[in-house]
Amino acid sequence: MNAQPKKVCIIIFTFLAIACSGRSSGAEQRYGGELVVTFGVGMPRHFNPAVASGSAVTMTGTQIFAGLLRYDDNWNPIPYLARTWKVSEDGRSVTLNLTKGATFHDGRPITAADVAFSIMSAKQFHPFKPMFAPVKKVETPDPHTAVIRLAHPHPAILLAMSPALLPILPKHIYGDGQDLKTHPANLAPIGSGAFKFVHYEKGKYLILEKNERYFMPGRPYLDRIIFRIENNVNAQMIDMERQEAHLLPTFFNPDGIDRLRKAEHLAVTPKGYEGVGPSNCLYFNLLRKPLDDKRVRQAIAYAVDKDFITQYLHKGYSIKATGPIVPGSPLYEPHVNTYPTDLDKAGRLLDEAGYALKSDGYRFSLTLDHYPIAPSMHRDVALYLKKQLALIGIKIEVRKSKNMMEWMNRVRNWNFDMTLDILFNWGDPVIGVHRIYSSKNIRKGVMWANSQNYRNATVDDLLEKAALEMDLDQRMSYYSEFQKIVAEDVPVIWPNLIPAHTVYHKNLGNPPLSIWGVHSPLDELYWENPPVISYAPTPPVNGDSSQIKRVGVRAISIIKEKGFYQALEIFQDPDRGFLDLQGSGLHIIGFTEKGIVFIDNSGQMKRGMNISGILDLDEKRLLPQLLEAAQGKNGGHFSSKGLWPHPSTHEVGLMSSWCGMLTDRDAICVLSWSQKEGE
Amino acid sequence: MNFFRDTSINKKVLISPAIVVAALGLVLALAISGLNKQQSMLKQVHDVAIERTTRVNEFIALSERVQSDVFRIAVLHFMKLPESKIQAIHNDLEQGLSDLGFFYHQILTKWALDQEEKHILEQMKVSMDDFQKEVQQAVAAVAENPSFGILLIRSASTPFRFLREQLKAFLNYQNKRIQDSETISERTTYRIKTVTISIALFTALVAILITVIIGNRFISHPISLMTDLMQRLSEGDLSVDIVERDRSDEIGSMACAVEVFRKNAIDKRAAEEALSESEQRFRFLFQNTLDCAVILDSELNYIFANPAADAYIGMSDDSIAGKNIRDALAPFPEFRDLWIQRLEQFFEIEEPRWVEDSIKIGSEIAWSESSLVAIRDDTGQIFAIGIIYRDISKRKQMEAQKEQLIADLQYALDKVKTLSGMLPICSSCKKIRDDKGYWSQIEAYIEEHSEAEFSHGICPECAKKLYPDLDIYDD
Repeated sequence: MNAQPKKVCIIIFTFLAIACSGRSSGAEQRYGGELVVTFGVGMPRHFNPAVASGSAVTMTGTQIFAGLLRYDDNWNPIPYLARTWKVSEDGRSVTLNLTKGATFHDGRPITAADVAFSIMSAKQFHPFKPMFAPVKKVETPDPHTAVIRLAHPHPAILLAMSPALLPILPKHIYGDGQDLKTHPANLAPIGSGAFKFVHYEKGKYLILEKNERYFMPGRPYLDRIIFRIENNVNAQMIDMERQEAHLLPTFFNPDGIDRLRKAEHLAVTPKGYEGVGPSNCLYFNLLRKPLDDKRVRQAIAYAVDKDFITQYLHKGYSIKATGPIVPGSPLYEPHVNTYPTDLDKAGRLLDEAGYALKSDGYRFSLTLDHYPIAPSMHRDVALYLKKQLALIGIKIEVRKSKNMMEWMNRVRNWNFDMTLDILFNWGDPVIGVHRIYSSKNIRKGVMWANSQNYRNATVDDLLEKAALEMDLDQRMSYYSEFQKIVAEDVPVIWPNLIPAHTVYHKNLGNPPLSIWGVHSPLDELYWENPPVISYAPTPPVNGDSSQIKRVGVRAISIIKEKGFYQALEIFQDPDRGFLDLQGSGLHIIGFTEKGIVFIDNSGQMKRGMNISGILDLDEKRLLPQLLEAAQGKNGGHFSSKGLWPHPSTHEVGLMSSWCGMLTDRDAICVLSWSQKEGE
Repeated sequence: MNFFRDTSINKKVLISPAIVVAALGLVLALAISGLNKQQSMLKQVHDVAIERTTRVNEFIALSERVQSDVFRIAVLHFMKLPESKIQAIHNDLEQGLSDLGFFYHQILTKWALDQEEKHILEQMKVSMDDFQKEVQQAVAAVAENPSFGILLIRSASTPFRFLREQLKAFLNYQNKRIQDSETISERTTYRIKTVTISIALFTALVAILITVIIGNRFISHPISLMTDLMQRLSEGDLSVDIVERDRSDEIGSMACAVEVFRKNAIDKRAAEEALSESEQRFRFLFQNTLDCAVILDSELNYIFANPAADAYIGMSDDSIAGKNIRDALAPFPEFRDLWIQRLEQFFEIEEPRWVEDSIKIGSEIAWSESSLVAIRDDTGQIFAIGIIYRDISKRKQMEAQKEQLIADLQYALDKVKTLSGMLPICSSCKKIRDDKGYWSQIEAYIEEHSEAEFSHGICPECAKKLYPDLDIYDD
């Protein structure tokens, strides 16, 4: 091991704090406006990235908390709270000069003590232990200088200062002695980032507003950001298509990508995930037979057709992975055993391992769990693997987990044979990769550790050396050998990179495309032209108007007046007259001309559902008839020639409705149920 | 072309049959290969079509199972059975939906597809995607609200129907492919047969043509040419130019042989001319020489005698050729016997080779000298003796006269020899002492011992010395 600092560590990064100008699109940057982010990558438990990882936490937390450094799209650090930084020649200390005058949202100044507190907190509580493990202490010679003392050179230290990994916490709030993991401020955080916490409706939305005290002059541009938690992909898509939401991060539904690319006002890009580096993984539990035999794991690797996964299941949006480090990383080694699909070879390996085919056509059985909340990446792949591995005589039972916790409990407690999961590289292998392959991180009960119980002394040695090596070429040589060894040992199969895409409105300037993408401050994002939804004229009502028409017209007026999401909440209130699930079954639905439902306050239809195929008793499609009514036929009134279920009791009866156009493409209908005559 | 020219005729004549055999073999092999390929292709198309048909039938069965599962799930939800009772079917349904894609992908990627198949599969994919989405949506809906969900299940039947139609279209196309491939195969087989026969006929024609060309150009024509050349040579025309000698075949060998023959003829003619000239020269020499030349066989018959020999024997009007030595030399019995004995000895030991004889004819002695030469046959045996002899009587006479003269001269020489040797002379008076010890005047001595005589005078030096006052020699 070469402990001497090399050329990389003596590079002195000295930038003026203000020098990091944004990527202007050339258009005049406009202040103001609201951004609606719809995301469904799990519900954030809180918003403090110092003590938790995960997209939901980092994406929201980086807006609230500022960090020390940020990164451009070429892995270059640029100043943030740290105006300048210097790594000592021996690589054992980093001196940070902080921006003067920076304050937290509550007006208290940010000092070196806050930096020291944050680093030591992250060291203690963040799940990525190697990230700050070498930090011995943080000295604060003056309020604007922090000196990080390291036990040994730590090549990942600068990347670990990214806001997604190290938020600067206000010591005066978090330093009160309470457990940081459950600290009440985590759900009502005070940070120093571009946006301030306003309100969090648990499981629904988070509202942030512009931080007027933000230490980066002229930023942010947006007045408000609303993060809407929407686990229904179809609902996310219809909201993006209808311009009710403007930013959809970490979107990897292949059908959805296809569909959203067709929307003229939307841009879809895979950029912005190089730092996170998400890849699909198939873990093996090496404690269990026959998976303890390398030949069995290799046989499975040869059986997996990565082309089918990437090209068919993922429609070409994902690319094949080859190892633990993602191709976007400067430390990626492509020349490893990639296991081209070869069923014969797989069969031979299993024979060699002593697992011959039995009379039932199988050699042995295994269970296969999967990450439960990204079905297009995992459930679909699991079902495919069941079919594919049967070809080499492995019987697979795909186990479905009811929720994330059930699956996590299986994995972290080693109660699994194989599982599909998403793994993030988190920029530097020390942060995101070592934890999975180092035998020192075999920790029962800990998620995203070495749950496969992989032990290889050479790998441990290489990882330890790479964690101390500051010279990039030498590090590369360690990681190159490491990647070759684990590819040969296959404790994990890496089928593909997660095709994470960011979908954003084309009127947005400076979309988040750095290596951290949406997991970095959105302080440069602005509206070139905020989207305007042009509504159709509201139909008039008079004394002769039917009750349901009155309800419908009122609903249209509220949407126009209050906005879509607020209207949705109003429609849920039975006292407002838009819902009668106990009686007439009256409720509001909204749908596009293609039959995609965007409102149904009864819960009978789901947002994003496609009702274009529903037929009446005459085998006529219902949708055109509803649209005709909405466009004025029969004064908007329509009765279904068929049996219609009550949304609450599910009793079958008749449906009568009034419909009107909300826009030139979208219709709003009020549906009312009645019993069949004679019953 | 050099190959055909230089190949030996026995090989040359094999070229055509070899070409015919090779070409027909090749054509036959190609035909068999083509037919095999055709058969193999047909089999492959057939197998692929059967496999595809099987796979599509599985696909259809699977889609029907999925559709059936959807209805089963709906019915079970209507029956309000607990979710746990339905879960197994739900899992099957989910697996079935996934397997649809697996089957589809296999059909899409396992075999090469033509445009029509690609088109059908593209349509099928649209229907399948719609079916999968509609089923997933319907099953989720029916779980929550069976009455409403059934509406979506019903709507899912539309893409299912389309999917079935596309699958059926694919099956129909496979049947059509089999029929088409059989038709194509028949046509191709017929074409292969026609082409094979045509090529065989063409090959035969080419072989005949090659035979004619090789036979005429490389065999008949050159042989005819050689015959003509040999004819001219036999007629003595040595000026002919022997062509085709650079060939490596038999014609070339023949041409070389003819050339050798021509050269030999030229050499023979030159030799004959030289021999004739030489014979004439020798004949002239023998006829006109004064030396006698005869040849006698082992019976001692003269088989040749030149005129000088005839004349020497005394047969000016006749020749001794054909006579026996006993007859020819009968007048000189002593001489005859000597020669008979000598010749018989020569036949045995080849000696003597030179003899000198004298014979007394009348009062004179006639001298002769003879040289004997053995004349041998091819085995080296002496079958004749050549004798050249001449009359040397005059030379002998002259030799006798010469010997007399020499004797006279010897005598004179002996006299002269008296003045030779060491003469003691007085250094003062110049008197010479003779062998008796007497001193004599030099003049007296020389005059006594030689034919010289002296006349006396005085030389200028002595005159000056003796007569200094007289200017005897002054001008």
